[in-house]
Formats: sequence, C-alpha cells, structure tokens
Amino acid sequence: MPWGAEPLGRNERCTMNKIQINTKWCKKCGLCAKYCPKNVFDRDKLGGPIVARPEDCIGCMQCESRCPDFAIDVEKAQ
Amino acid sequence: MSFDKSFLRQSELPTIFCPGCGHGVVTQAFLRTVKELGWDKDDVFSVSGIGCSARIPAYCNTSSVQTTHGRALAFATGMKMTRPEKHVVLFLGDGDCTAIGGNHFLHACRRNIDMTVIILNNYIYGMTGGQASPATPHGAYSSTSPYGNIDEQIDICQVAVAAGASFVARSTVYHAQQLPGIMKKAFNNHGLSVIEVLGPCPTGFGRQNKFRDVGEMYDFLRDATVSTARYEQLSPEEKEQKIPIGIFRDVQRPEYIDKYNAMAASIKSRKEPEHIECKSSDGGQIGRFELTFAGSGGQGLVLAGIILSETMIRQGKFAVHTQSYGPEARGGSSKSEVVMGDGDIDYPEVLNADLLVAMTQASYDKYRKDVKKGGLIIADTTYVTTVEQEDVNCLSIPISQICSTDLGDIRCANIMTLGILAGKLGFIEYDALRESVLARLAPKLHDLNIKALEAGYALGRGTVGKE
Repeated sequence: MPWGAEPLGRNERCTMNKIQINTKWCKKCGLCAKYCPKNVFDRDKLGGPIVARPEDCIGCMQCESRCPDFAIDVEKAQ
Repeated sequence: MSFDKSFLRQSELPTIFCPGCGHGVVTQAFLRTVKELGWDKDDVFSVSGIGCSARIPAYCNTSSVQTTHGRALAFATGMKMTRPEKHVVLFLGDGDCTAIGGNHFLHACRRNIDMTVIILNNYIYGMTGGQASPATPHGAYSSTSPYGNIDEQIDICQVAVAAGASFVARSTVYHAQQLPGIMKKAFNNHGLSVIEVLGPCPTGFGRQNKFRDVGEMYDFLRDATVSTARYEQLSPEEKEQKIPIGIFRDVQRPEYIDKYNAMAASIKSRKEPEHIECKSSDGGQIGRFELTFAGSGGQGLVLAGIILSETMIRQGKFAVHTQSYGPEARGGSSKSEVVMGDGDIDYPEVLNADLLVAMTQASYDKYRKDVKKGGLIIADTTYVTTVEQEDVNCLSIPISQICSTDLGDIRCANIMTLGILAGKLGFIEYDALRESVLARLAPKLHDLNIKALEAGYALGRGTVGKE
C-alpha cells in the first residue's frame, strides 16, 4: 500500500470474489438470488440469475452450497 | 472452499431433478464430505433404490449401484460384508426406505452394520406423481389423499433410534452448509448411521399444498425446524408445530461385521485343532462336491449334514448345509444337503448331486434323477428295496439293519453313514470327522456313535471301487 492511500471501506476489498454461473446446468430455481444475504444477484426475465453486484459478495458460499444443480462456482479472492 | 467438479459424473449433467429440488443439495454436501475426508472416490459405494433419490449415485463419480425398490439396504449389506474396507453410503427416499423397504431399514438398524443411510425425505412419492408416502404429514394433500391425508406421519429418526441405529440425525436442505458436518460425523461413526434430510418436492408436494414456489418450501424448512436443544424447552403445544433437527443419537454399539469376524475367528480357532493333520489321500482337492442325504424324518439326516459340514470346516474347507423336512418330528420326508468346496461357495443348494445317500425307497425314487452321470448313490437297503443302476454307481448297504443288530441301536445309522462316506471319499479326514461327532453329541452317546463311525469307516474302506 502506497503511503497516503485511503484505507479500505467496510465492504471494499482489493480483489473481488469471482462468481461464475454455468447456464447449461442452471434450472433457474432462484434459490441463489433468494438466499444471498448481500443481494448480489438479479434475476433475468426467465428467472435466471445475473451476477449484478459481485463487489458486494462476502464469500459466504450459501449460493454455491444451496445450488441443487452445481451451477454456481464462487472463487474466493485470496 | 469451491466445490470440486471432478467428483461429479459430468456426462450425466444437468440433473433430471426439478428446479429447486433438494436432492442436488444433498449430492453436493455428500461429495464435499467425501473430498474433505480424503476418501478415494472408487472406495465409496453409493447405493440407491428406486425413486428420484435413486438418481443421486448416477451423478456421483464414485462406485455407484442402483438396485430394486426398497432393497438397497439388502444389497448394500452384502457389499459391506464382502468388502468391509469400502465406505457404503445409501441414498433412499422416504417411500423407498419406510414403506417398500421398511423391514430392511428396521433390521439394518438393528444389526448396526457400518454403513451410512441418507434418507431424502420430501414427504411424497415424487417420481411416480405425488402419491402419499408414510412420511406425508397428517392433513397434507397428495394424489392419493385429495381431501387431506388421514394417516399419521412416520417419524423416521425415532424409528431408527428405537430400532438401534448408533448414529441418528436430522437436517434439512435449507441447512445445506451444516450437512457436510453431520455427514462427516455419520461417516466416521462405526455402525449404522441414519441421516434424515428434509427436502422440498416442488412438483409432487408443493404444488398440491399451496406452496407458490420452491423458495417458500425452503422458507418452510427454515421456519418449521428448531434445534433439538431448543425443542426440548418448548411446551407440548409448541412441539406439535415444530420439527427438531440435529443429532438424536450418537452412541457406540457393537458393530455387525466386528461381531461376525469375532465369531468366525472363534470357529476358526476350533476348526484346526493341533492333532489333526489336514492332508487327505488325494491331495485335498474337492472342487465343488454336492451331497444329498434323503430319507424320512427321525433318521438323523439333518444332524449328519451338520456334522459333515463342520468336519469340512475343521479341515479348512468350505461347506454349506441346507435342510428341508416335513412338519412332523418323526416320519415324513426329510432332506439335508451339503455343498463342499475348496473355495467360496457361490450357490448354496445342490444342483447336480455327486453323491446321494438314500435312506428310504420314496426318497431314492425322488432324488435319483438329480444325481449326475457317474455319481454315486449310497442306498440303505433296509428300506430301499428296488435299486436301478443307470449310468450311476450304486453302493447298497443295509445300514439301519447293521446298526440295530450289531450295535443294538438303529439311531446311529446316520453316524455310520458318515463313517462310510469318510471311508469312501478321500477328502473327508476320519480324525476331523470323529472330532465333529464328539463335539456335536452328548457324552453318553459317544461310545455307541464312535463304534458306529468305526464300523461305517471300515465298511466304506472295504468297498472302495466295488459297485
């Protein structure tokens, strides 16, 4: 960190968690969007999840472990 | 930790499950646990019966078996007994486990064999169209209870506890992140572990019970469940509304395979006494030898079969004994079969007898055709009067008559028959046979029966090669 830089905010971090959705396997049940505590996902017209606010993700893995179709991959930032 | 997709059989995906179905959640939790425990995928046997839950092993990149409806526990018990070092995990539905396979479940719990049963309880027979299962709640609607279910719901965990499973837990697919922890405990338990996982069936159950979408069903699982600790503090009225989740039982009980091995070891220590040399005249090779004792009840044929089997086990061979007899204690037909071999015996019954011991005319007529070409029939000519000789060898000895006149007791005819067999067949050790006879019979009968055995042995030896 260079001298004089702003300290990181509460929900800010240097790198973001990487959220990938395998649309071939996803059945659009909406559980990921429903139970995301930080409201990271939006849903498209057909109900499929869109990763709208990846910067809010806290890496709790609730979406991944609750996805019945193994369609979400959350790669935690190091 | 991200989920390792190599544990999935990816060629089978996407799953056949309906959107939001909890089965996928359980699959993921299971595969995560397998990875966390560091088990080799091939060492895990995933077994299932019939139903939606039966698809789970197809998606697991483990050794997977799908079996008949309700019988998964029976198949799995066989697998675990023959490969005790492997990890056997079953995926059963509520109907598969408690209705069709209810008895298997009770007795697997009672045996406490080292396996893990994961019961995916979605309250309904989902795959066949939403019929009521034993786990359907009272008052719930289903295809077969369109005016509300009048049956009471089965409490699978309490059944498992009562039946004797050593680890019993309940969770839900809403609590997906707690599932691997519970599974880990269950997999590490040495005995039968039962995990009931409540899940939604949006298609079969939700649609008929006013759940607007699958999310509402997950909300129901969240709101209706409380931990076992908090459940205890609730009033009886509140308890009616809530489902306890958590671990109901986690105890150490003697495990089935351990008990089996202990028993086998105790027999093994008996079977090879030091003074018996397990060498026979023809090098000890039997292959597979099938023998039938047939006669009437009271002639001691069942006992003869048991003694002969024990003799083979004493000699370090393998033997299976089966018996069939009429309801009468004396009289009526009686049959006792012994299959002997050098190695494992795959099929326990006699298909083509190498040797038939016929002690009555009726049994001779009935079983003569089962003797293979070139086989041997030993006929007790006291009772067998008509003997035909077609492509089989026949040895006619009036066994019962000899016993009653020479030894004064007709009841030792079975032991004399064994003596004849020992004389006639090279692979039966006389000393081992004598030990078995002494071990089986009461001391007061020892003298008489040893005499009969010696006389029979001499008869058998004297008639070698004579037809």
